[in-house]
Amino acid sequence: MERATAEQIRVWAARISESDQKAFDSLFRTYYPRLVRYSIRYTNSKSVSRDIVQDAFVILWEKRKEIEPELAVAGLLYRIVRNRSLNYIRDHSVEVLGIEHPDRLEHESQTDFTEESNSQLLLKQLKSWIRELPDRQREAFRLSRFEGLDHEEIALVMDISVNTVNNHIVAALNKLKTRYEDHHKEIN
Amino acid sequence: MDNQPIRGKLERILSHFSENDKECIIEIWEATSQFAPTQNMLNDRELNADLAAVKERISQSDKKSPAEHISFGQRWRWYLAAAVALLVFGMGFFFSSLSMTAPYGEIKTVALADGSTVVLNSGSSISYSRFYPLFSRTIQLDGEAFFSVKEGNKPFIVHSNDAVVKVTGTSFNVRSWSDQPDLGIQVAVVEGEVQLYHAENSDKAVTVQPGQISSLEPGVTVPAPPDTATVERLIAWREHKFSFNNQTLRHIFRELERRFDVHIQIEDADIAGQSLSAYYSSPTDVESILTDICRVKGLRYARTAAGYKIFR
Repeated sequence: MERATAEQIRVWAARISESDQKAFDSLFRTYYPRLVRYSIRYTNSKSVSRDIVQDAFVILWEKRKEIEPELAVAGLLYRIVRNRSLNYIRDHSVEVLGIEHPDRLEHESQTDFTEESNSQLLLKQLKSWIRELPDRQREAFRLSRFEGLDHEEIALVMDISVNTVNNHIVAALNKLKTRYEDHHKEIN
Repeated sequence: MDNQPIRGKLERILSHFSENDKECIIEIWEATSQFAPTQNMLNDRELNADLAAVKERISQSDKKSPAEHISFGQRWRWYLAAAVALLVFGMGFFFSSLSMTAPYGEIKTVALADGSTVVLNSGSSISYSRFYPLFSRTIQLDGEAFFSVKEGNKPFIVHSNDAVVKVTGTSFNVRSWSDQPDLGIQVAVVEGEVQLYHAENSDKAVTVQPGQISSLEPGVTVPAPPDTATVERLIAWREHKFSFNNQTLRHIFRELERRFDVHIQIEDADIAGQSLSAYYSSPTDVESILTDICRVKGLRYARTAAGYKIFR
């Protein structure tokens, strides 16, 4: 999947606000797969997530006239997908049994290490430490590091200020650092 | 503070840590970049199908919303439409087009307001002005379509990627896939005559007669001289037949994907580059075609979760 630059996304957003369908296609091709993957972490269902993300793009198109040049379009899409995915879990809680393991799929896909070197082991550890972070810190950290969103976009997704986003990520890194240092002491 | 460049994200975070800790934080920061998920949970077919579904929905909602604003009588609506269309055509834009897509696995016939028809091969789409044929008869095509054009005083024009096909009344086939640019753009004529030219080189048009084909190869702005061809074979897809004349396996498998709505993965580029000619008058299932192709080319195929895999 190609990584479009922030500048490219802004150009597409501006063209979409003028009803340019080609720009809409480009944005869709860039973000659709990663948004589906992001949503599956919540819903655990590919077909449900495909529907949710399609809805998000339809909403984006319907609201295209309101897109402002500075607006983080990716943040908007993630926000819609996140809220709809959470609504889905809420409405189907009997089937899903809580959101304690939204990273199950991701966890499974990472088990293909044939030989676990120290650095791979550390990555595994790091992953489990991230899972143990407080909810909001973990979410901000993941959106930043796993989904590649910038602070402004995360603020839009989580409906908090940019400063709070920064504080969450700093706090998360602080906790990870402590665990990391403890881990090093054990090894050496 | 809030509009720091994205590159400043890490610096902004680091400013909260002491010099001693910075190295460790950078290490964690770098390590966690490896957690960005890379596996793709959607294949191209699913992506394209979902994009088509979204575009269908937005064209529905676009159709609805203008009507809500213009609810004061037929005549007003007409004036407004004409005024807007004039404005838009003055600027050289296409305005609020309608679009039609034949889903994978299906062939779809579209009847246009002037009595012309368009048969869309699987996975192909056309779009045209909602005022068609009032101001012009212009169609945008991506994919493959067979056009039967009613005589009219306005020329019928097909824009497809870089190619322009211009006619008055005739029937012809255009094949132009934006996702397969190396295939070039091919026009085959059944009756009447058509003009083919590159969108940026309209002076160098070629006239294609019935029973002839011409094409625009990638990167070339002058169409190939018309050549006689078995045009019936080229339009056999309309009757759900298959006809491949010395085409690469890459293109053949891509066509099979669209026509049978399956995913076909080719193991290496070496296999994909081999050529083959084949004709099926009544293909029933994709596996019998795969069996034949693999036998001829000394290849094998296997079922996968997503569809099929072709290998040696």
